[in-house]
Amino acid sequence: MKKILIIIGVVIIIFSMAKIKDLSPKFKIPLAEKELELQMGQVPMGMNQGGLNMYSNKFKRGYGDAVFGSDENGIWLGGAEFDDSPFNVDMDGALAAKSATFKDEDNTTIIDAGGLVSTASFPFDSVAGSSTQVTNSTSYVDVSGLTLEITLEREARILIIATVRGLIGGAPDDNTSRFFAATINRNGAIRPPIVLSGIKYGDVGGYTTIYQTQTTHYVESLAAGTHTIKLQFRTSNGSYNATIKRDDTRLSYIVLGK
Amino acid sequence: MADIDFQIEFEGFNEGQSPLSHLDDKTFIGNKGQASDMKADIISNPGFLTQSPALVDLTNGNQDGVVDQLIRHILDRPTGTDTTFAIGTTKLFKLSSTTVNSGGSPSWPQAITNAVSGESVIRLKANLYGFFNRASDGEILKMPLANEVIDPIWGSDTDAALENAPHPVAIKEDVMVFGNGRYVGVYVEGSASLDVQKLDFGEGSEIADVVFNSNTWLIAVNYGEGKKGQVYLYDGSAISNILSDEAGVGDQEIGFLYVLNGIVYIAYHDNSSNGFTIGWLSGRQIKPLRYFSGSLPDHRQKALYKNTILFVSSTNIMSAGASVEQLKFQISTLADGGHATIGGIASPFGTPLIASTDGGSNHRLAKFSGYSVDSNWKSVFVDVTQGRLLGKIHTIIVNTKALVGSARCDLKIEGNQGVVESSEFEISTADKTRHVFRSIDLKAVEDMRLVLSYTNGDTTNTCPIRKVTALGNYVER
Repeated sequence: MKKILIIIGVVIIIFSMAKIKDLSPKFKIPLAEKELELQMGQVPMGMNQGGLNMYSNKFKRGYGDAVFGSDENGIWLGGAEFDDSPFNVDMDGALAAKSATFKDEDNTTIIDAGGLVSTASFPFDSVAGSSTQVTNSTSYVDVSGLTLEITLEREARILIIATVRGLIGGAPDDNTSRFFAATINRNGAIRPPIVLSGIKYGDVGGYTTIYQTQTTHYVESLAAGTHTIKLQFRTSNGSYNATIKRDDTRLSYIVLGK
Repeated sequence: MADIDFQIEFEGFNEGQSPLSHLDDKTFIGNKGQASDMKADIISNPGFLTQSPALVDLTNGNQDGVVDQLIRHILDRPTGTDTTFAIGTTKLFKLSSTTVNSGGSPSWPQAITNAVSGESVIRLKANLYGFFNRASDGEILKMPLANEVIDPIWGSDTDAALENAPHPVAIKEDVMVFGNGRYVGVYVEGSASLDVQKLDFGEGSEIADVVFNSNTWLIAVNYGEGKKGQVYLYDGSAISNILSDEAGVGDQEIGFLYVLNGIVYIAYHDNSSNGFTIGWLSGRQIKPLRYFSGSLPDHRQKALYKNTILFVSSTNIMSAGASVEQLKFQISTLADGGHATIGGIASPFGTPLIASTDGGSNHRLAKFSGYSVDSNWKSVFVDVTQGRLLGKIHTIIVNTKALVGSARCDLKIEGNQGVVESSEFEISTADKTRHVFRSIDLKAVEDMRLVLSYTNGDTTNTCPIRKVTALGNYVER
């Protein structure tokens, strides 16, 4: 046993004497690919991904003039910067746009690059009659064929216009007081003003019977729903016919905004 | 006593200079492949130490030819096949990879009216633009590449004269952004609009450099005589008058910015210390990478060489970077720069071009060619004591590539911080790859370093060293 221990001791001594100490200088240095790596969680100076640029005071996506951006001026589109963009909204909410298209619920364009599309933005209808119609009624009677229906999906302001051509009958030198009257009836309600027409005080005295034309209009707000408007006329004196020339008479409406 | 108590290996020379070599050229801090002092090529064949490249003047490239002044900036890209331009103190030069043009029509080099200091040249589409200072202000020249006729007052005719200041310049597509003292100027060729004061960084500021990277202009600005440096991001369209972002270097002066593989490197200087720094823009932080001594290079003194940044420091040409990413980032003194004052450097044709002057009548525009004998490498010092024992180096083994012709390098060992040294041993002999030197005549020392010198080397065949092993014993003195 003693012999074995001595041998082991000698071997250890010999081994330790023979071991060459490495004095080579050592200094740990990372590889370049590691050393030049952005650290986890480190915020880059400005964020760039392709054409996307995000800075502390500016955001831009795109190249050249094909840019969407925002900065202290506001937001913009279609220009390298806010000032030269065709579309922008400043911080006060002022919008500048080179063009726009607005559509209604039916996908119909109501505003486009040319402005309001009137056929879509201002629904209207108009009707005229034919031949003549005579009445000796002193109460209003409907003018045949001059009735319109308006259907509104929401409350709207309507301009209604009527042009009437008519005359009151009787001999020219008959000085009896008489007149022709016409009105617009909306949903049963007679709307002022009354249109007077058809009699004239002649140059030599007395009345003359000639066709005369007058126009009336009014604007009112109508509730959503269907409304009927019609033209009516009457004579002021049952002894004298009132004649309306329907060919030259017209009833129209236009909705002021859809 | 054992035959060998210790061994010291020196290898992996691609690691460049020690982290502290800029402060102490006898430092102990470093790795087995790092130098405490050096001027050698470790980037051409990483892992091997080879001689520095020599400089050879281009044809007509000195005062006996047409280079009769310091060339201050060289355009770092060709404008045509084997053609580029450079600007001197008063002249515009045209050159190829081998020759500085002389004569012709118009006659080269061309004098620039009233120029006293050329600052930079750049090609934008079909024209060359040159930035230079006059006696009291600055100017931009324009020269169509088609007819090479210089308009020496294009800048002031189009907008206004420049400040008398450095004028770094960079381009992207049809936009040119340049430094103009406290201002940044912008020229957009598409709209023919020049604004020499597009951005104003204020009194006491000076634009040090401008580069374009990742759809953004980066503008380096020094304040207060180089007491503070700042890097700003400016939107790529160069239309806005507002900066996008910024990162501060701190109370330090910026020399240049350089973009390589999408990374923005920055050379800067702490006025309170002896060293200079190469760092990179890491987030909003400027992260220092390596340090060097000498001088702070400016926007005219940077180039690409073998995937590393080549730059000027004092009278030397240095390299920073890794030849391949899987190696370590190194900084090393690669070569001598020629005359005492180095002007512009660039590598428009691959091989670096270096302009220099002695401040008198000698000037040159040279390129790397062959090997220089002004080349050496010194390891960091290694402590070789153990307790009260000193180290005695008795054997040196050098592994090289198979040497060719008269290739040679001399080796010696310095001890005790250079107070004592061994004789020189010649590493030479054609086809030999293992060189063993016994009986090193250096007494037992406390510390040692390896010194390799190419003073007696060959200018055609170099002696590439892969590994040096020193073997020694501990002895009592």
